[in-house]
Amino acid sequence: MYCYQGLSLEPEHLPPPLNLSFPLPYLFLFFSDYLFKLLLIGNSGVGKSCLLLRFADDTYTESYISTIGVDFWDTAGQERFRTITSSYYRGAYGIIVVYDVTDMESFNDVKQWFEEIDRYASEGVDKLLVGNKCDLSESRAVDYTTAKDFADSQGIPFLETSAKDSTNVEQAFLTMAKQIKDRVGAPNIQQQQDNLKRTINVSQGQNVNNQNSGCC
Amino acid sequence: MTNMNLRKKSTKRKFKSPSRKLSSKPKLKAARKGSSCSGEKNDVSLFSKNEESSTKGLLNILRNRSVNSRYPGTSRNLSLYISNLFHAIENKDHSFLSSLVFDNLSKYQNSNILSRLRVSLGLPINISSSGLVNTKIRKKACVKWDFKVGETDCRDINQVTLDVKRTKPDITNVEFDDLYSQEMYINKKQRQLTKIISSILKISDDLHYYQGFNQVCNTLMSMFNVTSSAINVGIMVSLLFLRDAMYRNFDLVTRHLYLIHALLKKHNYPLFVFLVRNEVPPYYATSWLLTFFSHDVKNSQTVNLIFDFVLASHPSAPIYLSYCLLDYYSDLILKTEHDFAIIHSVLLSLPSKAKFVDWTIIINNACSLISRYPFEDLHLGSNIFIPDWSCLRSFENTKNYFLTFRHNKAHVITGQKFLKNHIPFPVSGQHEELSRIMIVEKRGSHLNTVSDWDAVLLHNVDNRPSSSQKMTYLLHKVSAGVQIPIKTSIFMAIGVALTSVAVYYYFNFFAIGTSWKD
Repeated sequence: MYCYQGLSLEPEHLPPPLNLSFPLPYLFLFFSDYLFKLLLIGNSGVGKSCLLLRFADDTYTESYISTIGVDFWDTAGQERFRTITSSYYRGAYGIIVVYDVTDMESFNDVKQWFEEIDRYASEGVDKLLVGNKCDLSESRAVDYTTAKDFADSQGIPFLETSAKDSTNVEQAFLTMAKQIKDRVGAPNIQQQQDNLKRTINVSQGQNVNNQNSGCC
Repeated sequence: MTNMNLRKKSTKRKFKSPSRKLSSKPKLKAARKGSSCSGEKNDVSLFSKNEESSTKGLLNILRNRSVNSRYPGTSRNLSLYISNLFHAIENKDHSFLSSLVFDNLSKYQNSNILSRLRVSLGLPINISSSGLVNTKIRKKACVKWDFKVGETDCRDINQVTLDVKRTKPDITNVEFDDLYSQEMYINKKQRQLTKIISSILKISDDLHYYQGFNQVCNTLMSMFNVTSSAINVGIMVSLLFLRDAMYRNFDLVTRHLYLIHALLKKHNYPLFVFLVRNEVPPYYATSWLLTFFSHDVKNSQTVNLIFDFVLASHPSAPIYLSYCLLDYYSDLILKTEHDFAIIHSVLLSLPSKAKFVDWTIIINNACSLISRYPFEDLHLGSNIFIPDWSCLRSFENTKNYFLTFRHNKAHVITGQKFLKNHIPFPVSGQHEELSRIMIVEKRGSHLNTVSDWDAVLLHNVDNRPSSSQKMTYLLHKVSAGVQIPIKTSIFMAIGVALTSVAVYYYFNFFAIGTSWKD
């Protein structure tokens, strides 16, 4: 018959060590004025998750696991997932459309993604176009000027980023945040701003990294 | 005939003999160790004492003594095992508990909990047999046939190559000399994975690739080692279990997802109200259903256990599992802030939060729930319309075809015609029809107008919510600032009018002599 008694000092029996990184996002939250939900959309494999990982943790992996459904406001790229991801557009303050600089098809589909936004997202949502993987200059398929012209015709800010060597990544998220802040914090919608402050400031504890603002 | 009978008797004796031998051991040990654990009587008392413990599910099964009579040889073994388990649970010794469960799973097939449970519940032991965890047993159990279909090309090959590059094969049991050899091994495994996926997709035009199928195939590859058997099982899994997800779109998958909420509504109403109130759609469970949790659970041991359970029960098992997972952590969910983004991320983290022991309990809960409230009841109880060509409803029929292969040993399936005859793929037009039909009424006539899934769930024909449940839901809606439906607002207006009339008459006729100043 089994009798399991006595103390053991193996590491798995001890309480886990204190995680010091845990309160950091909450501290950050305490000092920030706004919190916005951003959504990343775009074709499969353009590097949405990598962008987010670079911005949140400042790390990069070549083989990041593919997203299924919606993970921390980072969405699956395959077309059949659109019915599911589109239901999250409504709650987003800003939407970042990502395409792959080395993949012409992903840039051609950008138009479709904007149509999706017009269909499902709430009115006046802020948009941003991002061309990822700009470090791969040899296999570039989409010129900067064509993308810039397209973005200008739509009236949307545009940036080229690289999650690998972290160029412009922070810049992209911050321009998005600034844009939203300008819209929300406009003086004629003072009341709305107050409401937002009250309801959303304390929320978003889990994924604070990708929805921050108040950079100034 | 007489010979046969004799043989049977002799086998029975063989079965019984170990139990006698074993029965002497625990008594001796118990005498030495005192009161801690002394035979069967003590076991029973222990169960009665701790009926309300958190590990109800696990113990419920172990308490089921009728199982023992079917395996006479292991009855004593089991009581020993039960008392051991009980001690481990009582002391919250998770590592020992998991080792107990795991050893038991791999060593003794007969005394393994899940297979016994399945036998006692009358669930089918088909594909991956009773073995669980052990690859040898799985290989024996899986159907073997030569699939001679090379008619169609792999359509979604671009997406497949994209996703295979990003899947990490299981390397926990392999040792490497250096990084280079590890890279080579991973490349080899990824090539194998591409082969598996593409050969599965070649079977039929109606099977499409979705992101997440690579994870399923990756797990099957690590479970079966050999490519050919992984392909065999993968074909079966995709045809019997994941067919709904592999159609042209995810119409059916959203229905499956809302079935989780239907289960919540039936069995955990507070949690259902919490989720509906905060407008959390059940899309957090997308990857749970599409990959049988292999996308979210990091521990490969756990993933194997879940796969074995799902493949041995029913395509609706992931739905039940995700309900039980939510139910297991319902206190934690109810404590979170009332913001759908936070709730979504908390829910996403649940599968990785649950450890192996938690998962055994969750699986056992799901198992008992399936027996109490099978899919047919769930489908009738919730108003969500699921067509008869869905893999959930046609499972029993289609499964039989696969089982005949195993018995007849006629292993060759020739061409798409065979599949069309035996597996109910939707005929053209049925898909379009589906998008119009959301719910089904009891009579069988389809109601097309409702577009809100929550309304579908609340509009229940078979088990209407009680008035108090309706009231709580209404109050929640009001406090959340949602408009009240016209019907109820009319009733409320009538109520207000009546009360005002009553007050008016009271002051006119009964309270005449009095004034406000008094």
